Amino acid sequence: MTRRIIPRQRGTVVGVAVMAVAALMFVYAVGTALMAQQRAARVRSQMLALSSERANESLRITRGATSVAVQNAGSLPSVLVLLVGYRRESLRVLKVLDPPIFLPSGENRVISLPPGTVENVGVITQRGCAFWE
Amino acid sequence: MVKIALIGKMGERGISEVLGALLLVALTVSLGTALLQIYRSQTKGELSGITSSLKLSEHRANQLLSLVYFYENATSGKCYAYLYGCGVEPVQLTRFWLGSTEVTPLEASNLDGTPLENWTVPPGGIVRLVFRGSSGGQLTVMSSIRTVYSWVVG
Repeated sequence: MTRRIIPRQRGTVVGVAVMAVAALMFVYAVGTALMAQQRAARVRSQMLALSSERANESLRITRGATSVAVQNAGSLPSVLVLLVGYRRESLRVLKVLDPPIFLPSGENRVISLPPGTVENVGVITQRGCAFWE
Repeated sequence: MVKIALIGKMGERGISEVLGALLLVALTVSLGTALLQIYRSQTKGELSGITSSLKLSEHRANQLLSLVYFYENATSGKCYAYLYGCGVEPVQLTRFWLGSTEVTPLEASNLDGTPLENWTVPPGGIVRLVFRGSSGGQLTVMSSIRTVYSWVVG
């Protein structure tokens, strides 16, 4: 059964449509503002989390003749990405740890040193912290 | 008869109501558009400010730099700094300070000795910077997005 819209109702239909469009625009504006707020909060919390994680990251490095023992003395897991060595003003990458070594809190890992390593050795983590023997 | 002449014929009554409604709709829409335009022009600057500030924050969160090694040679009067890009975006360095003195690197290179292009530290890469002067206990660098990284050294 088809319902015939009489002329007076047509005006109402158009009015309702306009109001609906206005409501949609309002919802869009509010949604955009909320999303921007969430994005800002996410970035802020990411930065805060990183600095707090960095502060809690602690590794103990013990050098052996041919290897280096790394102990995670911090409260958070660490991801070791580079084994580096320094001597006076020069620093070099001894080993790129690929895949990176995941080291849970309290655990140890022994990494073999390249032959002929004479430098002091250290480890760089994914968070950008360097720990030296 | 006078009344009929004023409101028109009986059959045309409905059409004039529709026209009236359309007129009101047109008025509302144009008024709304005008108001929206005023609001947009007012908030445009503010919105672009918020957007650029958000983008900047995201870049700052992605451009992370860490000083992994610093050596000061008092005999030669040179300082050697090794920076590690630990973020996901490259960091372009623009200005450098040793203590409170602004300096320019004598050398900026990758660890393999190749010159560092545009003083940009790649993500996951270590770069070597050599400065002339005394560290003054602090190394500070500024990136192209005006992020300041500062470390206590020596």
